[in-house]
Amino acid sequence: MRLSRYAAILAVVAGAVLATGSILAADGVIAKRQADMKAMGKEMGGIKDTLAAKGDLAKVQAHAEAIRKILAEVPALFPAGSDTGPTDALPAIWSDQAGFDSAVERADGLADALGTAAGTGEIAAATAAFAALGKNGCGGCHQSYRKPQG
Amino acid sequence: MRLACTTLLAALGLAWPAAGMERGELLFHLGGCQSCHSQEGAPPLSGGAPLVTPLGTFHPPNITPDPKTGIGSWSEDDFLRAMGEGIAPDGSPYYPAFPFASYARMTQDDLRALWAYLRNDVAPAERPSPPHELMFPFSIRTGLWTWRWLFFDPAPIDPDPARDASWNEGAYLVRGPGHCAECHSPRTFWGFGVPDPGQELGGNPGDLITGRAPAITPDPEHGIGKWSPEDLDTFLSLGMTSEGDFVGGEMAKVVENATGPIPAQARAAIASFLLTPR
Repeated sequence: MRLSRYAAILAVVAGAVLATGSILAADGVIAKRQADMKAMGKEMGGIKDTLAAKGDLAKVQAHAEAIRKILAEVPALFPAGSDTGPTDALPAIWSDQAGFDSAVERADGLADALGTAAGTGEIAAATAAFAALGKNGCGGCHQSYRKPQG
Repeated sequence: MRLACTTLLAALGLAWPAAGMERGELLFHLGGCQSCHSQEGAPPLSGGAPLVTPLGTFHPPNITPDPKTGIGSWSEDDFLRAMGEGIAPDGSPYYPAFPFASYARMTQDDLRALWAYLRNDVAPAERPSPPHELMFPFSIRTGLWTWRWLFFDPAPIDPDPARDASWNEGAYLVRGPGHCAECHSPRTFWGFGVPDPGQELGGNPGDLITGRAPAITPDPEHGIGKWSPEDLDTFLSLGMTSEGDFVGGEMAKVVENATGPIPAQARAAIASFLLTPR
């Protein structure tokens, strides 16, 4: 009798610990993906500055490569259960996983295209590819999968 | 017509070189017509995606010059009344989901220029618009007369002689055709009224028609006072913030359809108005 009460308390405590653990884990992955998004933003800012200054397009290529490296990790940063907590991620990421994955792939393709365009040395082509990456890659994903900011 | 318009503006101290874009086209873009009246998979301006609000669903109608399903049978006066007073050609009042409270502040000359653009530069498309599906009692259009009596009092946008031409043009573009306040100002009467002129562009927690929108006042803490004019130009033309973030949501449509396609000079005027402490 007593033993079952101990068991009940133990179960409650264990459950609470597990729940806290998973919330912390979710917070960790949320913080990680937010840092990654900020890092990509920084790369985009660097590209914009380089293009505006008509600078070295090799730098643009390097930024595009850095963005692709981060993008490769993005799908894994939205595991099931990380939809709650301090996040602006929309439930559509998990309800429409295929759509989300293909939006990330599209962004990756546009970043690749930016690298190629920058490789040609033509600033106009690189600028157009940059705008396309921002609008359809970054913005395209934010349109469907992130809460409006503000 | 155009000459008269330019002369009039010049007389008001608002000389505004078109910078490669006709006035009507500029107003068409900045007015954001396409954001609501177009949708993917349909001809441009032949009716927009359903606008879902707590009051029900609005269906933005076809505004192409098609005489049967669009506005092809309208007269210029019909258009002036729709935009300037929010009243349909049949005399019924429009719902303020159509931001006529802002459009009504535009000059008659500008409305005529916009009308000419819609008539001559938009391809007619025959595509009927479904009626709105609103819940009772909002489904009763007659109730809108009360709304109008309580709230609708459009003020013309008078130039401020203490400011330069660019600031004044920016103020006009933001307050009139750009209808920025429709989302970025809180509405009076707990979200039921009009954008509150006392808290112009002070941010909106979300109301019965629009979602939440940040403050875009020149305040450095709560608004965008820390942005440089270049930051703002990048944002309005590309949708990128100074942190390299790209907007989604309604503002992405604004950038694509409204502030992106207009000449840099018009964006600079908007920035001049938004960033100068008032």
